[in-house]
Amino acid sequence: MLIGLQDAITSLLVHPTKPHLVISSSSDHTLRTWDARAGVLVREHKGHQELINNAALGRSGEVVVSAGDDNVCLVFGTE
Amino acid sequence: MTACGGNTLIYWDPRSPTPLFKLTAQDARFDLSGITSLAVNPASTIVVVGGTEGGVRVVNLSKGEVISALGGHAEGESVEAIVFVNIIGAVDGSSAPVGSSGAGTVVTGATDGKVCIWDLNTSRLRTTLEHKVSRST
Repeated sequence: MLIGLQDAITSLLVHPTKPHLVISSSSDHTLRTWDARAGVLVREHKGHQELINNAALGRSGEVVVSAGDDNVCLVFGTE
Repeated sequence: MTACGGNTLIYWDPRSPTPLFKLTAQDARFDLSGITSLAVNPASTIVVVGGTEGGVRVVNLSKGEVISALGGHAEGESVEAIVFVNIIGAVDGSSAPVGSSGAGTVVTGATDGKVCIWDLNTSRLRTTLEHKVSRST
């Protein structure tokens, strides 16, 4: 379903302790942390060479781990 | 809550083999050409459902009725992810007090590259966030 799309959203996460923060993973190889209240980009997380299939947040929300089609998982700081 | 590519949404009580309600493409305003994502709000009063053609529906869980249709994603683009957020708790004293958030705020993401933030009290789009700023619309 997602193959061939440049920037499709593949998953959305909500920060466990700052519930106005949303993280999106995308076919554009990036993860992005957004402030849903203000509607602004907080941080862009780059590093994957292929699309990101899914992501998960740590229990405290300080880190997000992403799984890519490049066969690697990357750990990023959310903010 | 279960949903499928055949556009059927079923709300179950796990103690019973009989669904509490079932919505299909034949029900009013519920044809999404197949369901791809859903999320239930924290109060378990509504479910937001996304489809293969960019459609999003809000369904009341007590009645099993479509409350509203949220149009923001490009037609033909699949809604892949839905989550509820709490933006009220984050507002520093300037907005509504905690507990008055009503139906709340939901975020949808689709293959069109858009992340849409919806106010469910008004059924209006609050913000659209895009993964590629340069993408033509």
